[in-house]
Amino acid sequence: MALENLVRDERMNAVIGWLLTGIVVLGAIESVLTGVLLWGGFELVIVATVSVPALITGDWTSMVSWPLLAVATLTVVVSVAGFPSETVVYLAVATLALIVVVELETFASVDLSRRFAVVFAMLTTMALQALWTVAQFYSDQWLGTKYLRSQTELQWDFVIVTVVGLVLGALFQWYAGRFEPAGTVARAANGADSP
Amino acid sequence: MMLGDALGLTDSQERRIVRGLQLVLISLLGYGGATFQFGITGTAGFALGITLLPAWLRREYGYSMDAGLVLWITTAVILHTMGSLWLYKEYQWYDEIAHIVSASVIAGLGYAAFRAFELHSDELNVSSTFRSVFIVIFVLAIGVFWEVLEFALGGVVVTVYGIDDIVTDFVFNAVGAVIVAIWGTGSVSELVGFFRRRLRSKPEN
Repeated sequence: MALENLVRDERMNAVIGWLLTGIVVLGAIESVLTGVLLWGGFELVIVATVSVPALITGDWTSMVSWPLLAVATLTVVVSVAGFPSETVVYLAVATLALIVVVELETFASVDLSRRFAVVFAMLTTMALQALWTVAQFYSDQWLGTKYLRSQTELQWDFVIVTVVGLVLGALFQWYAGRFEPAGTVARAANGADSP
Repeated sequence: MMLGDALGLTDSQERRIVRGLQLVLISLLGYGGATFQFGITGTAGFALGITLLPAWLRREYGYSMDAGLVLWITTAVILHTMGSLWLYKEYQWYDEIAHIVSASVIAGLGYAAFRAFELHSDELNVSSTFRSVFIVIFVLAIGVFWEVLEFALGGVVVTVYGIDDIVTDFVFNAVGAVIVAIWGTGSVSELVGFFRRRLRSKPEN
């Protein structure tokens, strides 16, 4: 459980976490009311993902570590100013991927070494971008939005999300190593211990 | 368990079909060369190279891939070759079938590598649900990576047909991945064994 310590079962973390989640909820409501349905839906997906551990365990303190959630909240706050700019979406997608991986590792019976967790987070980032592209396309078709304007722009989206995934993965690797007790670092270097 | 069983084909029949499909590719290669259509030569040559990989594996590592699996890979390759040469422009549904088939190959390879790694190393220990999720995520991610690759190649080798084509590709890649995640993981059990032996034979492990 190389990432487990990122999700501390502490009241303080949970309080900050739920406050941040509240901000995301407000952002989602604002998006839906102003007619930015797709982005609002995405924000609700963030809220749902963050709430799943607490709902499953029945313990309100089951919450990913707040710095991770803070990045997601930041993307929401920035986007409240208006249409979510592309950079915000990349960051939001990559952060959501990390949250998913951390939660799988911590709350589900999934045991990944840090090295593999980072790779998996990057794959998830790219997969989410694919789903996001599909969502945008059908939003354009059915809701009359204009997300996907040109093919070149979409292709640049793919390039950038790949790069963002790589950078965030490297950052995460550093963060997980930085805040891990010494024993776990040594262990992670040789692969996580068997259960 | 194996793919060919579902179709009721014997191993030797499957091998014969693979040879036949390779002959088609060789004739395409010759046709492209004779008529100076080097787009066709390149596409057919690349496809032929992929269909020869199982034979190379056998020679290099003494691993005979299951005949059904070889047929599966060859079918995916030939579907894409025909598609990129003629049929994509003609029929939308053809593109969708080709993507389901090739995504299922990618899904099978990704799963086999993942499962072998999981069995081999103690870095991973996951549930079967997670393995299924991994297959879908892997295929979607490869789809995006493929788009990056196509973009980087600037449409020289492969043509990008527009936003709706990219989106349909993603959707049908996902369909192929889900099919493998639900029914197909048994088809690559031999491949898992091969990857595992490769991992084990590495000195640092």
